[in-house]
Amino acid sequence: MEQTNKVYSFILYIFLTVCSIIAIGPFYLMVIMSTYDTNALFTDLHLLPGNNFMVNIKDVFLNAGFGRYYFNSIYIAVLTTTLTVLVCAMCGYALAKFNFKLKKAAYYAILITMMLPTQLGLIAFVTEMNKIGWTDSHLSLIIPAAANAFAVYWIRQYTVQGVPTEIIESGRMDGCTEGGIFFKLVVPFIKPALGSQALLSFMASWNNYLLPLVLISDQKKYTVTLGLSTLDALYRANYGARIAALVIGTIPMFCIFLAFSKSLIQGITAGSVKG
Amino acid sequence: MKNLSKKSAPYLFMAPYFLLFIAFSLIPILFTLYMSLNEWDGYTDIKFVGLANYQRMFENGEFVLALKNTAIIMLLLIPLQLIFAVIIAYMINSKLVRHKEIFKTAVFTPYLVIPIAAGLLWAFFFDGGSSGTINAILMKLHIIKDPVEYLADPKLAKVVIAVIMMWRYTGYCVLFFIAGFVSVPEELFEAARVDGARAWHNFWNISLPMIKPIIIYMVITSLIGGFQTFDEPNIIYTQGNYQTGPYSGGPDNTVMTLVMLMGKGAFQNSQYGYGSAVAYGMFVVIAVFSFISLKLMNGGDKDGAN
Repeated sequence: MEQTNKVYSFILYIFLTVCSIIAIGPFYLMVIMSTYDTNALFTDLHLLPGNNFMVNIKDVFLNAGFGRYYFNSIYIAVLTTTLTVLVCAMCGYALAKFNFKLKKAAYYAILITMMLPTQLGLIAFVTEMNKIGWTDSHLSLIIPAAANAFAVYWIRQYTVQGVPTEIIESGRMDGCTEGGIFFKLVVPFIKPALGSQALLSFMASWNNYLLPLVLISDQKKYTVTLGLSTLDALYRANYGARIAALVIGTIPMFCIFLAFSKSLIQGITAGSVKG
Repeated sequence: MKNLSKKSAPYLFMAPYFLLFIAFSLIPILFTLYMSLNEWDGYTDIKFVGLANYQRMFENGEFVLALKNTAIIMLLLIPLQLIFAVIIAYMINSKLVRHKEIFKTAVFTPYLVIPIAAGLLWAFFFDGGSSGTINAILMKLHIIKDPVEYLADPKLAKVVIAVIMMWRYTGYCVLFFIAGFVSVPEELFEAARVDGARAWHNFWNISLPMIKPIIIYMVITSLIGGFQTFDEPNIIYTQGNYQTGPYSGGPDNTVMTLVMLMGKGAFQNSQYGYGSAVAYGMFVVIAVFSFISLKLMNGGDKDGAN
């Protein structure tokens, strides 16, 4: 038995290592390629870092204006995330812990919205942004994103199970206001849910491509994704710089993942497991 | 907030969400439906044309082509991706494997790469010249003699898109399945061990049925996501050596997806009515497929109970 377990275990490790290499390999190559100049990239396949990274980075930040795109993306993602978590937590809490007339209707509305393809209303949305003057404004990327059905659904699930109703009741007995109950008593209980939703929202905002593409045309207001998509025109021949831009566009996601990987994994999976 | 009574509180708590939802989701969705029955270029008067946009969409074959393209990409992608994900998740969850966090993080890494960067990165790898990374490797290993034009070949283009998406999303699915496997009660395996069950039996008859809800969830969300494919093909074919113009779908339009077709109609050609009709066509397709997959998998449940 011991012997066969060892054999099985060995096979498992081999298989998982191969999968891990396939997963990480391209990413590793991307990082390595960002440290070479274009000539070197075309003459050989490199597996160890070169010394052209700073030159490439300089090209990206100074000449292509990536600093500005970076700043735009970060503040858009932070504001979107904050607003989404606030708006959706309040809604999720109401659906989880109150009894009221329209509760069922509201809950079903959330469930149905989750099933709708996000691009269904896109064309009219762009027209609407035009009409209210939000085209070429970051408002169009921040405010509408705050109504996120999945976030409401998932915070509601968490609140139903994670917040004891007695806490809320005793808060009321002590004369706490409804707003006070939510912010002071409920929020601390659902922090893990809020945290993981914040990460998901941040990722979604950072990765967003189609919406900025159709809404933002002023180059000063570009996000990182738009910046990346215009690299071709700027750096036709400078592959080293182009790949360096991909690397630095991805770095924030990695920092966030490393810092919060536990709650991120929880957040991604909780909706389906509990649902 | 001070005078909020218990009765009005839930409505006030929900108000921001629903106001934003109505203003920026519901109204656009309904207005898109209205536009799909009209002709509009964004400037002149809106002209009612009934179902003409839908008719045109089917008659010129664009919608069916985009649907077919998307469906083939998903057929290449989703079954393999989910099977791989289930196997990897099961292995990581095995008692014989330590350092689970390392493997979890490793397979999840691709999901952290921005879709755009993933598209561009793989476009470099799949470049058709002899210095394209994949060609270079295959030629060094003497597997191929001449470089292969992956991105310019109408058939291979779909495979490339499927490969990129599989690379990016398999690890994401793995996390879901691990969460599922972890939640299978240990007693079930204990009972099976008493009965002398083998590992294969455990997997096939206990673990897999127990994670069925997650499999259903993954199939449906993969379908919904798959029908909305846009980032990867669009970025590859608006960049570098293989440009076919914004919103146009690769060699012979073989990777033109539904969202690209919608964008082409509305944002490139200013045919808002036509683009809206494509959006609703996409919606109907997604709804039908979600419904069918939900039915099929719940149906399977009844058979299993017999």
